[in-house]
Amino acid sequence: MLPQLQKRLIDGWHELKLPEPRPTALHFLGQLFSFHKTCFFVFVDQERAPRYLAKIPRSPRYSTGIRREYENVRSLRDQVDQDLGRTIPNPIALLEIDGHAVTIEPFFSGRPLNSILGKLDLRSPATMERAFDLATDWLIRLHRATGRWGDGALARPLEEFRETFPLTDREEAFIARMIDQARAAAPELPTVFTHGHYGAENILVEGARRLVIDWDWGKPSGPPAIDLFHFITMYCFRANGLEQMVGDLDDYGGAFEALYLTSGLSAELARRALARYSEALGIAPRHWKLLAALYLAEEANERHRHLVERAERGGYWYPLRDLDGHAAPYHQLLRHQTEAGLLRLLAREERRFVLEDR
Amino acid sequence: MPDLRVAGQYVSPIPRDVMARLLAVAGQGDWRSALHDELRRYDRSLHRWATDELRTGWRMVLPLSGESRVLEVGAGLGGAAFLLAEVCRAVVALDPSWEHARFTQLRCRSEGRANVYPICAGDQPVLPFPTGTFDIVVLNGVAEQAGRWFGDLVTGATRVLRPEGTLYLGILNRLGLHRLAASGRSLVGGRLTPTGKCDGGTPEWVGNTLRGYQQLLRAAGCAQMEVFYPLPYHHQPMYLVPLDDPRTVAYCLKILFEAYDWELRVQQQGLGPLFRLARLGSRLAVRLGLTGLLRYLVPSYGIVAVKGGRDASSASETIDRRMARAEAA
Repeated sequence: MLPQLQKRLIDGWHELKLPEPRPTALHFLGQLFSFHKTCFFVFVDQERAPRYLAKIPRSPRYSTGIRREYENVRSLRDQVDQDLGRTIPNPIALLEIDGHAVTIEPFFSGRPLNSILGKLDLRSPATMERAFDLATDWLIRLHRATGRWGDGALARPLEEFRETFPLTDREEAFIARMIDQARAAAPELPTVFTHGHYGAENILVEGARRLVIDWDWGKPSGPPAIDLFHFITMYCFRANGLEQMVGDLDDYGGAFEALYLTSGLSAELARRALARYSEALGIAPRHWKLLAALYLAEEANERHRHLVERAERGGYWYPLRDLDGHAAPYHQLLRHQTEAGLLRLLAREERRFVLEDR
Repeated sequence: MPDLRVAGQYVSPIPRDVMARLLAVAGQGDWRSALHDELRRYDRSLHRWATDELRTGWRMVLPLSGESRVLEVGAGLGGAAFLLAEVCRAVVALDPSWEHARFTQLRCRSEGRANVYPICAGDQPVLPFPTGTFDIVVLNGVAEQAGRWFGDLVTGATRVLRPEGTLYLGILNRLGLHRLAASGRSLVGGRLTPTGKCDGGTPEWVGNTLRGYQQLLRAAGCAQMEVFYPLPYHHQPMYLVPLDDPRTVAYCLKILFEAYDWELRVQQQGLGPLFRLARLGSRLAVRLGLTGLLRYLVPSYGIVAVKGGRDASSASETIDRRMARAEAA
């Protein structure tokens, strides 16, 4: 791919309307640890820092993700003001090279927020509060700009969850109640442009500048607050030494319990962040449990859909790679999502849900 | 499926009984369950070797296209060949193990990848293809198996490339800094094979130097070379760092040790001392303007070599004559 990309960029430099003169050489530093795409920092001629970022799918079958991200940010940029637009990527081009969709965007030299936080004590109240505030502030701006009322089928994620994942009678009763609540609450809750993966790793920071990246999981119309729940939950998991959702369910369950089912510092700070967000968006706090359920359902559905799609297209990614000793067959494991497990935990322990307005 | 074994020896790091179950389940059309339910249960690292798409990031540096004819030497259970076949016209997946080639065949057949051609090469010392057959030849992590035959393998791989075809070499660096730390040797050097062992009776392969590889490739007939560091090592690249340009090396160091927070993750894998050693080394290198030297000290290389315009290599001519004599006999 790189030889073709280099040729395409240099030969088509003027058509891309890039500001610099056509270069004589491009160098590519590849970052390969995303699941379905690779990112290449593009160095132009003798420059010391990259000028562009090229996103290339690992395989042509992942080109839809690249195109989806491109369309998401283009659509989003049309809905927000210039100031907020500066915090969203601004791709220059979407190219097709040998069946691969490739986007080119200006490079932003900020550091991921999670690497900044990594130098700090994540459990300290000051750090936690600062991180929650940063995340909440930006989401308030985005969701105020993109919120629509009376628009959405809020119950859909829960309905899909009920169809996909095996549930006990008690869990099924909880999901059914949440579905009823979602339908009743639809006139009171806005739908917003959701990021889908709003975590500290996807917020780049350089001084006062921010850039929120990786919009391939974004949706133009999704439930409010789920991005904030994602940020808070992932932050607290990381504070407990847990990385992405590929570890043991018991570990995540314990951390989830400490955040949402037990009164404590993290729960209090989460409550404050939610309160601020809800006040800004006009959301009543009595909906927080419903929104927490929607967050977990949406994530479980997306992950399952993602894995099934990959399997059907001939790809393969084992879903719980660090789960020692798990003996369930492959097809069952596709349903054994951590997020599904956490929603089922919430269903069983809903009376202990501590994030309520006081 | 062509089987070039002289005797029917079993050559695989996977025990026969596990392999038999793997083939049985895959033969019913469900290679995914076979890998997950049989191989993963036996050995998680082998399972990752066979399935993890992230291990084949080196594909991105190759000029793959819908017209490419690719040879992968040491194809294993077909993980890379399977992915290469998505974008290429034809992929020949060569492996010394009949069982590996058979699994590759079942895997690709069940997904409709009719353009993958598994071949069991046995212990044939000469690649059984006419000169100039392929556009791209991949030798990733194969040197550890070939041992002292590696030079012949490179020569043979270049021979079967068409003029101006591309050879990809993923390989250890004898001078790699990882050798300074036990955890580094374990991470990189210990993973000589997917199981972390030296198979086939070859002595432990510690690799050559960059200059040594470049000389070998030139002697084989490669005219141009581009050198990458598949960080952390060639079996699992998370970054592809072009080593021909010190600026990109310096920028990569900045990403690794300042921009991103890798320390927690590597500590959890027991690589904290190696990480800190590497960080110290990188800071010194940047401060003293020595990032260009790192190209000689990285743990492994991904070398993209382009064959010359004519088959001028005397080595390849010699092998053609040897093959002709062997065929005549």
